[in-house]
Amino acid sequence: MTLIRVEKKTVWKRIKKNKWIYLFLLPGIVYLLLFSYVPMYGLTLAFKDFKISAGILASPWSDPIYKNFVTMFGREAFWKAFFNTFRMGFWYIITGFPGPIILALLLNELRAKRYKKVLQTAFTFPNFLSWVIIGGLMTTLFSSEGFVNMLIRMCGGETYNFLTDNNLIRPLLYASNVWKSVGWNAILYLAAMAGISPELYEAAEVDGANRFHKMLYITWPGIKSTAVILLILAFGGIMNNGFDQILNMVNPVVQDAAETMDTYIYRKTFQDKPNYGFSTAMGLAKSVINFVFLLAANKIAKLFGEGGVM
Amino acid sequence: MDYPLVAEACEKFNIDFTVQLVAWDNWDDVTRTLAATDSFPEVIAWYNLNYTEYVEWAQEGIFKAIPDDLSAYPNLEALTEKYTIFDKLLVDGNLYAFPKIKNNNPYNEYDSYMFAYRRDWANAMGLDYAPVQELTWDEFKEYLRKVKEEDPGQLGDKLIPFDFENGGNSWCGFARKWNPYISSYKMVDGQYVWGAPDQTSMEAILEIKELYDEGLLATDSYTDANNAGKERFMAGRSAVIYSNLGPSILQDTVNQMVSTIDGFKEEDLGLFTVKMDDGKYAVSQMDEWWGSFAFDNDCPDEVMERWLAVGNWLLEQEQIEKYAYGVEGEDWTKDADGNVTLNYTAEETAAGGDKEYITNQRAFQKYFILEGLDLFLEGNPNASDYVINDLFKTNMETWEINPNYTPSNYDLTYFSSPEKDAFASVLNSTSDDFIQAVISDDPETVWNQFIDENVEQAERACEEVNEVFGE
Amino acid sequence: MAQKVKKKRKPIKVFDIVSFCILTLLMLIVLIPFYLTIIQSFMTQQEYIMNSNTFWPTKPTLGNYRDIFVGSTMVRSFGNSVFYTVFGVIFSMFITTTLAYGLAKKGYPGRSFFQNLAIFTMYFGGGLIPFFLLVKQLGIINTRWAIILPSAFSVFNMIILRNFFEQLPPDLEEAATLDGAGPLRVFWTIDLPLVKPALATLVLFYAVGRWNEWFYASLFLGNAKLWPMQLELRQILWSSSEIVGNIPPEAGRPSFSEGLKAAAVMVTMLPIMLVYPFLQRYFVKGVMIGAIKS
Repeated sequence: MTLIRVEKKTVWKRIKKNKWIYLFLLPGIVYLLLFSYVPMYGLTLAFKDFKISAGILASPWSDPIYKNFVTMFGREAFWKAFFNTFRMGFWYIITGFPGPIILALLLNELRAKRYKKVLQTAFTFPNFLSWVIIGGLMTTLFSSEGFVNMLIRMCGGETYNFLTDNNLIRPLLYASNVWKSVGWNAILYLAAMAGISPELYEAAEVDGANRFHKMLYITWPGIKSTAVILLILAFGGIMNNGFDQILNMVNPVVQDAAETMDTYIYRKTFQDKPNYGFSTAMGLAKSVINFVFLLAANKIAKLFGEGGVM
Repeated sequence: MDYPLVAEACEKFNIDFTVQLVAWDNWDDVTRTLAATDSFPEVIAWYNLNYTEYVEWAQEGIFKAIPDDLSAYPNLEALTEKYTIFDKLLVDGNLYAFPKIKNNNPYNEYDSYMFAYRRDWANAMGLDYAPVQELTWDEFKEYLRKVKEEDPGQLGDKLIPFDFENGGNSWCGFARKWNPYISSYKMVDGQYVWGAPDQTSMEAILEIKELYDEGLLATDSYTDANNAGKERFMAGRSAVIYSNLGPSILQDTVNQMVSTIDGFKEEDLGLFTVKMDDGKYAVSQMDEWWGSFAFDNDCPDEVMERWLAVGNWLLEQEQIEKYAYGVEGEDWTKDADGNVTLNYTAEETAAGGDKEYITNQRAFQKYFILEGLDLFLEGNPNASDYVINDLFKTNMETWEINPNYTPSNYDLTYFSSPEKDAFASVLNSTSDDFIQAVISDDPETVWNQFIDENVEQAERACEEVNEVFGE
Repeated sequence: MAQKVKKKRKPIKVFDIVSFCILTLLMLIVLIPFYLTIIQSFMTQQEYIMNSNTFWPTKPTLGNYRDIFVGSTMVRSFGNSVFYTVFGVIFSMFITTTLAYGLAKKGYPGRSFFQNLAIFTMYFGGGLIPFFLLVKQLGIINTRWAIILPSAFSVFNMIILRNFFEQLPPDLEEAATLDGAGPLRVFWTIDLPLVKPALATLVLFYAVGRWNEWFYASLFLGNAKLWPMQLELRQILWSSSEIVGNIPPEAGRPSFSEGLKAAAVMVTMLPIMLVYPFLQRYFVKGVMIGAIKS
């Protein structure tokens, strides 16, 4: 009994000692409680038949309570979209993750500082083009009368219809995603590199390290924790990739090859009349999978002795 | 208010209002959220009222019912008697939204999807075609081939003999000329069945495929959105367009082409009426409405009464003229013969122009029910005699002689049940599979796969439908 | 010192040339489609359709830009956007920095609880309806607060920043504390300047997010006088390209939707590009560390 009391006391003491930290936490936590946790009751819609007049809380529970999930899992198209999302999510990460690191390392090695700034700015430009515009550009470039086919014809080749090729649409999505975001995402790594002390480089030079050594033993460790965190978060978003992009870039001919859970919800449940219960259930399933991936990636990172996000 | 006519209405009916604007491009998100949280303003005016949602919202008590007895508003009452749509919008015997009549023209029962062609090109090929030229489907195809061969516009590989408003995404709608029920239900022996499996769908696919394979259609046009095909026609790339050309759109199309294509005159645009293989014109009924105004459940009676009174007043001939032309005496005058003279140019009424208010105050009129009424006003200088009479009216009158007419099935469209609502997404996506079939080397397999994949769901939906409507 | 600088100048090696070439090539790949968008904004519809594969419009036009600015209320909505961006970023940075800093500290009870509390919200949320009801109940619908307050916080950004705080060497802080500096002072004068590059990055991320925001504005602002520029632009684009029901667009003069879209991109980007170089200064290597040391 006394033992427990002592322990309690120390916890209280530790809280008291660190009370200023709680002060720092306060605004953010209050914000999250208000804007994220107060509306959280909306998740119950996944288990309800939504009645507008009753509101979310008073709407009746589904019968059986997992009805929306049964409907969802019972649809063949759902599983198709599910596995497709999964597969595409992996490829989005594999193609999207290394680019910004490589670009940032290359930029960092550039001797001409002014040119580096110019490049750094130029690489962020595509980030400001919305997917609607990029969808239009894709037609301009790859349609049968577009630039690429014009070049092919000039070189004596035959017109190839890129836009109707089911095997090409996904690589095109990944590539355009890299194209749009690589410069923007490199900013984070450049920021991390800016925090590396120049003395480390100077010391390494004294030791006779060459460029590659410096990159490997100074620059990379300096940005590694940022890279790990971004990778973990990327895995935590594996089911979320490309909704806006797919809607704008995929034409009806190849759309089945690029159907994800998000586009499935949009096309199948929101066109005619929203089914809030069904879409909340689907969103919840997606969140759980994302969350599991986050936890797993986090765990693996920790096993390798990295910081992780939680 | 900067708008004289709106100010007049506010004064006369003692009303004052603030507009809460819903942005176009996430219209559904916003209106659905407002409905689901019961946050609508007192008076709701909107485009694209989705029927399934309307019924649900009405049943859930989102709206206040419009009174049965509209005798205090004779002009509104006249509309409810003229159009069948009003009966179909009753939910449990009450009208919860006052439908806006789509383009109140005298030929309203016909869908205004028509063929427009470059008459100057036809003339250049030595064909003396009338403003509204009658052709059979085979003659039509021959015409397209002739255009491709002779290239009267000297466009080379830019030429598109035949285009659709939304390119490939309009093909399935065009297929209704062969199978009017391709994306809906069809009555067979007293029972409703899914329309797509009918063999006429395959006929349509093969016909369109033939044109596509011969290079008579725009190659990549399945990527089209936002009327890209129509824009190609208006920029002068296509010889024929199949598009929605209701009177006001037709007028607008002609105006734009005259201003963008060098040397293009009004008379250089013509219409084709195309007889299908049964010797008839395949036409469908037009949905009579596309928007609505309604009242929130919290709307006070007097607000509703005054708003209805404004709507009634705006339907008077005098008001229709004023909204079409501006302030009488200042912006326009009418002579003894009824001819109207405008004291401004079209450019002045565009955004930023001196007479911009004439355009803007029409938005107020649009909150009610008065779209496109003005084009059929006697002596309207905004409407050209050639466009309205020689083209539009003649086309409609030709159709009237020998139509293969498919009426809208309001009963079915406005019937809501779980499986039927779920199947709507398949019906809506028919177009995607239609495109895939057309451009594939093996259309039969592609199309049959689509049918096989969905036939069970279709049966479940039909069961629900037949329970109510089957004989 | 001067000698040291001289020593640094090394002969240009093959690697320099290779990386220079690779980066330049990449830049071209990035810029060519972007360039196509720029010229599209100066094209007429006629030219875009009849002469699509061109690197220079034969008859460049400012018509698309005119259609965006003439008769619209772009000046007002531009002002709104600046307001939302400036105050939104200040608010976002305040809650992000404080929470990130608090969570970067270790060894106090409840740390992992608060951390998980934050991360959980990245994955689970109540959806649009309860969120809308909350904002409605706060009584801020149709006010500027509805744009500043909700959606101000990104847990993603917070985690990034927390990581930067965690990387800081503890010795500086300890030394300052021994000198009698309180926690707030340590935060403000020592730790914050050390993560300047990260702060600059987050300011950029938040600012661009705010600048491009239109969805919440369309949901919470029925009063068009409060609309940000993005929403106004979308409205202009929409009414130029879509035929609603049976009624042609209201424009009164023909406008070219693809050209308008491209012009809208340029109008959106320009202000950001004017601000960007100022933020870029903070990415210059070693400035902060060096300053602290001396």
